[in-house]
Amino acid sequence: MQEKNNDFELIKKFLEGDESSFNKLVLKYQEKIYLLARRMTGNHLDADEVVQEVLMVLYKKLNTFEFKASFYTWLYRITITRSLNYIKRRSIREFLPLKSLLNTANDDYDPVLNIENKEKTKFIERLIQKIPAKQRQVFILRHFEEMDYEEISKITGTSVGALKANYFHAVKKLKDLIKEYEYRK
Amino acid sequence: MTERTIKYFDGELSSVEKEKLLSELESNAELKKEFEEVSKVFDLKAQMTNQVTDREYLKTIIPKFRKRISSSKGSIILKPAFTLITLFLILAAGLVIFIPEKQSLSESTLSYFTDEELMQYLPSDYLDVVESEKIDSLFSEELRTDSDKIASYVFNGDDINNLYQKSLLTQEDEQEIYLALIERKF
Repeated sequence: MQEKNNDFELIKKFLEGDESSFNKLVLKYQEKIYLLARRMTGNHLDADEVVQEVLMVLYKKLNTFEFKASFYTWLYRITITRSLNYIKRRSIREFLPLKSLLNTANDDYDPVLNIENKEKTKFIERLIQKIPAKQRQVFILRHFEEMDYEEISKITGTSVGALKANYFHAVKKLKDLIKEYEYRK
Repeated sequence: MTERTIKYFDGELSSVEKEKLLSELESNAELKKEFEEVSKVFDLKAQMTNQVTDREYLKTIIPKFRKRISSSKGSIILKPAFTLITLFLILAAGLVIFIPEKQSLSESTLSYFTDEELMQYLPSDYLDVVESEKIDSLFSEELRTDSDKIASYVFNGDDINNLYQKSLLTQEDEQEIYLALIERKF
């Protein structure tokens, strides 16, 4: 509750013209936004682009924030929506023969640290990219963000029943993909 | 079978259901195999939850955003929405300028129309307009090419050109000629 009030306070100050309050909000949530975007898009460069898009939306739309739901839920909703939009745009770019539009620069840099096995993480990221985006979002929010279905429902605007079905399909698909990978190895 | 296993790992089974599943694992090889396969999906979580993001990268997020927002404020012309709106306005202006305006029917423009066009544009509702246009192409042309015929049904055979020359046509006569013409043409 205290956390929620702090966020509301920062938002109000920003709306009154205090730009530093916006920075404080970003500092507080930027890692969460990045990691969520990273899991949704599967790589650093795309996630970095999504983070910037999310901040832009926040900056321009914070005046429409209704102080009813938590800021955190609202922020997650924006991040998920921007990630899905980005994935859609990316798939169009991949479909078109315009390689120059794809985010391929500086591919080596990866800001995700302290992982025992980076290769395994990359494998997981690639694996998750193979499931449909709608299933992926539920899987990530449920599995990695440890949210309950009601919370995910608020973020995605999907019913709990549909979320459970998507989650089930996601796990089943991942199970089959791991099995296939192990078989080929 | 898979659904129950997934529910187990997802914490969606009651304690009784959990116990039942675990006891079945002992005797059901197929279930055990699937249990192990599903558990691998849930093992992914451990790998991913240890992620920490490089502080140096995080430090760049706000400056990058500030730079982006200040440049977006300055360069509105580069925005796709602005470009689209501009193109639309140019196109709309082009249409207004280059596409000839459809001539509306009024007393001043009546004489510009050919008979065929008049036939097309003038339903009987426009009789007032036709009547009030005193020297229009419709009347002149009709008078020139078909004066005898007009004379025969308007003036019982009098030569209409002679009547004009002798200034024997009154305002009422002209009105009558118009009405007769209109009635015939429309």
